[in-house]
Amino acid sequence: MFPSTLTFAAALLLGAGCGGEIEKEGSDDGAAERGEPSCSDDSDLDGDGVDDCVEELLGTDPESEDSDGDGFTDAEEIDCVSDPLDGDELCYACGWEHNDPGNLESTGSSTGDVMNNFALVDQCGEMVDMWDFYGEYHVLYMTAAW
Amino acid sequence: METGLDFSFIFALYEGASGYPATENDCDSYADIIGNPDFPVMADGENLISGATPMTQERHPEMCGIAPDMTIISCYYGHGGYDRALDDIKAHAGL
Repeated sequence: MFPSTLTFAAALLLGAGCGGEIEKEGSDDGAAERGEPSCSDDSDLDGDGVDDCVEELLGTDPESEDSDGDGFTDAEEIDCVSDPLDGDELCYACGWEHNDPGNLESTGSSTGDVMNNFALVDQCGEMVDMWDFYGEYHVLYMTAAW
Repeated sequence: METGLDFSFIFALYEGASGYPATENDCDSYADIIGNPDFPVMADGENLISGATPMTQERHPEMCGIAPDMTIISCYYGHGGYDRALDDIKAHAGL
């Protein structure tokens, strides 16, 4: 699961100009001593397409294009809404987003309940967690193929 | 149909064309038949959905409206059920 969609969105916004509280190279102003992140404009040490400023904000490794070693680059995982720090979470082949917020609790199986989480195989041959469809209205439509 | 609401389908097959529990191949084939949609077509050959929702597999199709927080809004069966589920979703969204 991605740490936070808001964090992700903020990271993208900051990526354009390294804003927020991230210190820039040459204007450190004691940031290193205070343990705050520092980065330089538009630098991308690992060439993964994610600026070092954004990598610092996300906690990914600016010197590794695949911080969690799962075979998808950090940029690919950000693009497919997968956690670039969770090696067990991969981009879905069909393009679904990993939207499970990580704090859901099932309350039952009746109307008004938060449904249980389970995984089903999709048309791309992957197991997909139902809670990854969090965040949008859905019609769950069940039928037979015959 | 314009609903003024962002929503999507999740299709689930409990049986394939052969009448046996649905498999990955069934949902791949079904997705082809319905034009390779941009929503998931899933195989539920182990009846997980009927254990997690009011749907029973005794009739088909069946459908439930699911809220963004994964709450089950309401469930219906039959081909008219879709409109009723959609109405409930819109009401839930305040539309």
